[in-house]
Amino acid sequence: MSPPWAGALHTLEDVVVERIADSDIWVLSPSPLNRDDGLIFEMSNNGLTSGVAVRVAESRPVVVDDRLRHRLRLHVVNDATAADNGRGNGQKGPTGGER
Amino acid sequence: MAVNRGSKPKGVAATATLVAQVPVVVVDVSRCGCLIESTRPLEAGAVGTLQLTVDGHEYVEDFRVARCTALSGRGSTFRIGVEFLRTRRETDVSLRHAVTQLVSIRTGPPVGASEPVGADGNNSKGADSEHSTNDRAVIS
Repeated sequence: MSPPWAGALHTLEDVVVERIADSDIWVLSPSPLNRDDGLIFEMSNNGLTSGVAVRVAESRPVVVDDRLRHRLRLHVVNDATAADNGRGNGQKGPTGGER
Repeated sequence: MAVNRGSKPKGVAATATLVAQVPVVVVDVSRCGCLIESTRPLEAGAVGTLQLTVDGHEYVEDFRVARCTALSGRGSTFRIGVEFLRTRRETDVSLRHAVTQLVSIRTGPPVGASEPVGADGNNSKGADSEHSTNDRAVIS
């Protein structure tokens, strides 16, 4: 077969949400991420899963409950991107919130 | 996004999922896994979904990363062995189904095709695992 098959891997990582603000989301992740990595942040609410495109702004190691975790600051890029990827319902989030 | 912004989760910790999309090229594929190349490393044990488009058809399979090694002399290129997880039925969009069809066309019906290779869950070597060549297609 030629050319080689091309495609994409979609990997999943469960994280704990610490805080959600206007344009940034803080989470605790078991593994670090590279700055500027693009991701989809998915969260379930009342049985509906919504997604939003984010970019890693910061990744810092922290110790939580005697375990090494990585605090990630995710910058919200564009809700439409998440909807385009078919991983979200395209809903816009509420405006306002703390920083 | 339909998440409650501006609030701290109370009581039970709120959880979410981060989905990363990594472009890949498939080097070798079998019914139980495949060998792929990517510019991003993946940790062994990571799980996700592999999505491939072949001749206009889209195939999907859930996987777990068995190993990931850097290719020397190829810059930041990584070779990743993944094992398919049998979490989906073998429908027309299943990559396992596509491989079965492909192997059947090339070599005739594979011996024991109805017996999934590595179904005992002990196969952790990805596409490099020992199994019949009838069950495997090399992408060149």
